Amino acid sequence: MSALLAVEGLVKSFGVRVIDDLSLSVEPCDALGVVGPNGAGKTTMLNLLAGDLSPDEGRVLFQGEDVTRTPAEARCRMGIARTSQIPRPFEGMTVFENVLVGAVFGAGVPRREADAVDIVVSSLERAGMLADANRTAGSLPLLGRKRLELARALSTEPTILLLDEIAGGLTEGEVDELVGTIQSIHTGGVTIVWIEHIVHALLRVVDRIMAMSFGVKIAEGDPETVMASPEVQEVYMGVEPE
Amino acid sequence: MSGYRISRRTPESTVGLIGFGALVVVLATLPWWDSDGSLQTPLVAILYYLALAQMWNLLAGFAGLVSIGQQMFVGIGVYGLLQMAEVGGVDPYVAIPLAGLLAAGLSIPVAAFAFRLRGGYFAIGTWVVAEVMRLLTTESNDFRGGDVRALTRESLGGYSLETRTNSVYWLALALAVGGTAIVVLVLRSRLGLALRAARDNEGGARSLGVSIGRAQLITWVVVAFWTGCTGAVILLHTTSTTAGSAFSVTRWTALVIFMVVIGGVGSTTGPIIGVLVYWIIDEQLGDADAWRFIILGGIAAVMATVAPKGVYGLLQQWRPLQFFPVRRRLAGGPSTNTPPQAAEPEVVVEEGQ
Repeated sequence: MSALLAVEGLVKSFGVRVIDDLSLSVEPCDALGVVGPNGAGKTTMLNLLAGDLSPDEGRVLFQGEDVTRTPAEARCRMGIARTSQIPRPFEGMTVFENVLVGAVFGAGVPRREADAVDIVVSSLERAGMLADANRTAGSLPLLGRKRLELARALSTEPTILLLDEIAGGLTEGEVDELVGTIQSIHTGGVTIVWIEHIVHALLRVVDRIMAMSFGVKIAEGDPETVMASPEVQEVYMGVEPE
Repeated sequence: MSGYRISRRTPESTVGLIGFGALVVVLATLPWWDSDGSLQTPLVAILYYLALAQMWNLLAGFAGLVSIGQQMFVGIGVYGLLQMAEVGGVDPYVAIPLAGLLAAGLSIPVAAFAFRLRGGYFAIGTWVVAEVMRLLTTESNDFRGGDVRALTRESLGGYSLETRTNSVYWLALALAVGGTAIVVLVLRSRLGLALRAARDNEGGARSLGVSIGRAQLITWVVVAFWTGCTGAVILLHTTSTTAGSAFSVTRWTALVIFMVVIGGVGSTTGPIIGVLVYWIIDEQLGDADAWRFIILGGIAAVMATVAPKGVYGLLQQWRPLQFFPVRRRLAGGPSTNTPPQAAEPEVVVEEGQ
């Protein structure tokens, strides 16, 4: 039971089985990459881990505790943070206010706003958003929105950070910057589970990869071996590991 | 890292606060200089409508709870005061906050039912609850809501007519100012931060640890309390009632929605504008009776299509002014004094990698 986050026999179906008997274990300070073609169930898995969905069968364990029925807001306060593939900013609020929400409500017992300011500033700084603090979130371009997702997740002082295609849709240079940021977050002691199509970005951060297809884990292990395996090559044609 | 702090002030909010304060002083002293009551009389209704508008806006515009059952809280306030003063012999002025507490208390079991419903179903659900309350009040032998019931001289506590007229006016002013202050204070608090986040993106708010249901329930109870107090003051103003008028969806919810939608839903200034606009339109329409509602409905329909954020929304398009200091900015520190507002790609702070 030393795993930080573990799932056992997870099943979720929306008419068809999107997640089919998935088991997975993430150790403290791991950086796990998740790859797989569209429709493989990666985002559904992340939603199940974060509590945005609850499974039909199976269990989710966090620090040895069963959190299968724990709602998303409570899981966040326990230390599970996530970013969303389609950013979910509070558009009418400033960047600062967006991150303040996480710093006030997202870590254990709600904090006083004045006590949360330093955490907001450091989260903004780590995500490279401090200069945009007083800008309205709705006016941010895509990279800004992705960074805001990251800053908000950091403000909840997570033990584990779940990233959903945070590099998707960005230019090469932007991806580079973001990878640097994620590396430094990981080095700072935060466990990472990262779903990503841009495999070369993923490989710069993760030390283990899980490949999924049709809701099933098809390979797991060290990145080179997994990406070179025939199963992954077959479902993942066209993307080569560097 | 310290040196940073939260600031809510804007230049226009300072002006707004001074202006608002001055207006309150002028209105509070009105009974002494408006001797014939030509302003005081219409203002009573305007002021308690402002209280109702602020409360409905707090629910629908900020907490995402589109209620069309606000008349239940007004009705509870009306009959609460009536029963306490007539049967219980309670001083009517003491009974006002007690009627508010009654509405707040009853709002909790209502929430236990209505909060299971979402969106349009919630709206209909609150209406149904209010209708049930109206029918129970009508049928009850204790409340006799089918009859016209008036506060007797004894139950009015022997206060003189002038004292009552002036005190009802001041109470209505207190409800309007207090109602506005409640909204401002909620928005400045963590509760307001949670509500605004949930309004913009519910899933995103949950993922950041916000317990949305809890924030909504607190808001619901606060609104019930203040709306109940308003109902009690409305009875002191009219001194007589029936269940039909105390639990009237048209008077206490539909008109209020009209005002808020015209003025601007989801802002603190909007309801103030809306109540004033309604008053002006209403003056113009005079006794147009059936046409009144047709014209009001027409205006609401046009506004909802052309300017869904109301008059205040149009004002915002022209100049993004914040008359109430409710938004938070990061102040202090070295680099945030002039945030870049241009549509330029953002400025990226370099960091040690």
